Amino acid sequence: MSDHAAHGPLVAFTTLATAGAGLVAASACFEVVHGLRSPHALAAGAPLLAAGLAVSLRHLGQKRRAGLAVRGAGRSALSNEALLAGLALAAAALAAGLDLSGAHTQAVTALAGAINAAFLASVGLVYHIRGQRTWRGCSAATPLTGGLAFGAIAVQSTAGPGGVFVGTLLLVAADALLFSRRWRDVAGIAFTEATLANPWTIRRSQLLAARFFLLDVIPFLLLAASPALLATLVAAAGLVVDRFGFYALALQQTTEHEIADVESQIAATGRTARD
Amino acid sequence: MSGAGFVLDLHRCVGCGACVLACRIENGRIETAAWRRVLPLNLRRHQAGPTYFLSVACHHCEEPACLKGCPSGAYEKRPDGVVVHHEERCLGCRYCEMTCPFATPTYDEAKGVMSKCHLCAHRVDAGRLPACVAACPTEALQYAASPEAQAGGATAFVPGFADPAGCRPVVRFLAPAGARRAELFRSLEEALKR
Repeated sequence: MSDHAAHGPLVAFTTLATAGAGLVAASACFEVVHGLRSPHALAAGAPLLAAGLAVSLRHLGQKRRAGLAVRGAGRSALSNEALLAGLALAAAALAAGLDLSGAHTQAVTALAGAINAAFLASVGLVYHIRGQRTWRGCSAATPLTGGLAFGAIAVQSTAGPGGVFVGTLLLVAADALLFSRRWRDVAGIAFTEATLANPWTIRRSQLLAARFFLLDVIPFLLLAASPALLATLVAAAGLVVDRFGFYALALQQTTEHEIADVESQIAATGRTARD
Repeated sequence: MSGAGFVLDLHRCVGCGACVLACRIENGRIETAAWRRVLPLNLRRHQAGPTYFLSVACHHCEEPACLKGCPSGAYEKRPDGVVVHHEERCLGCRYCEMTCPFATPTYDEAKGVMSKCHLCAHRVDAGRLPACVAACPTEALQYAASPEAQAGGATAFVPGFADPAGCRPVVRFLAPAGARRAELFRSLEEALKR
């Protein structure tokens, strides 16, 4: 997909859905592991997921056929994502509903967390595409790690300093590690003149650095100093930059790009021969 | 054995674009994105490499990435190997555009669905050649029920063609002939291997 304007709804959908699923998954994780309940984070998950799914309809040319999206479940990564999104929303709504009505059940919260984590993994697998040069390697895992890191930061910022700090540290460190590998992969691509026509490709270092610092480094330092909502807001901005950068840096290996690569090599060979 | 597809003779193709025009007329795609493109390689005729034209459309892959990725099952591979797209099942999500390593499916803004070359299945079923093949004045573009078996000396990959390893496209290429062009072609292939 080369039309960057068409990515708007996808950026909004994946940001909202990753944030929502990340909140549910991290809340469940901390509740099961540390016994820490985070009713606010759990309650915010379902509305964010629902908003994301509603926005995702905007990128469809035929919105009334959206129901057909699950027909390819098991074969198509996109169908798997759509199916898991529906399940994640239902499970998150059930867990939050039980929590708000005073009938909280840890098993339901844990199940909702597991389904939401599976949904986050499925988001990454949709973009595990061989022909997309900047989406290879660790990129497929970044929605999962990014979502969990955001969720952990949000839970931590409302929970105060305590036992979960180590859990947050681990989730943020895992995301930072994986994202630094994606950063290295993207930086290692030999961009040609033709591929540098995309203005965001020229600014790829700034874009990747902004994501790294906004989602991982700055929120963690803020939390280490004093748990505050500011850390969640910075991490949310990091999530937006993450999803925007993911689509803005998309680089499909088309025949047109391949020809441009070969032509630049022919030109280089000619220059070497004259030298 | 592979299914039906195209064979492109790089020595004969002069890049006239008759195939693109014929495709547009046959399939009513005058004002929408063309299903076939003619892409020149080294049009500036740099002395270190050969010049040729890649006339490309859907390659009707043996393992189509579009079919595998489509969430609504809008793609179908017919028994003869032709990959067809059913508009009435398409969501217009454009995922096939991302997954196809050749970016072959094109988005039809007016209809809100994807579309792509169907190898003029309606003509082939009636015993006729695809419109692009029939229109080619130099017979560079050919139709074959099985290009792999039919085109002797043909190759699945030429410099400038996107990496075909993932989905096994059925298209085959005949390398440029003539002493100088053949030598430039071979040396380019060698240089790219290194």
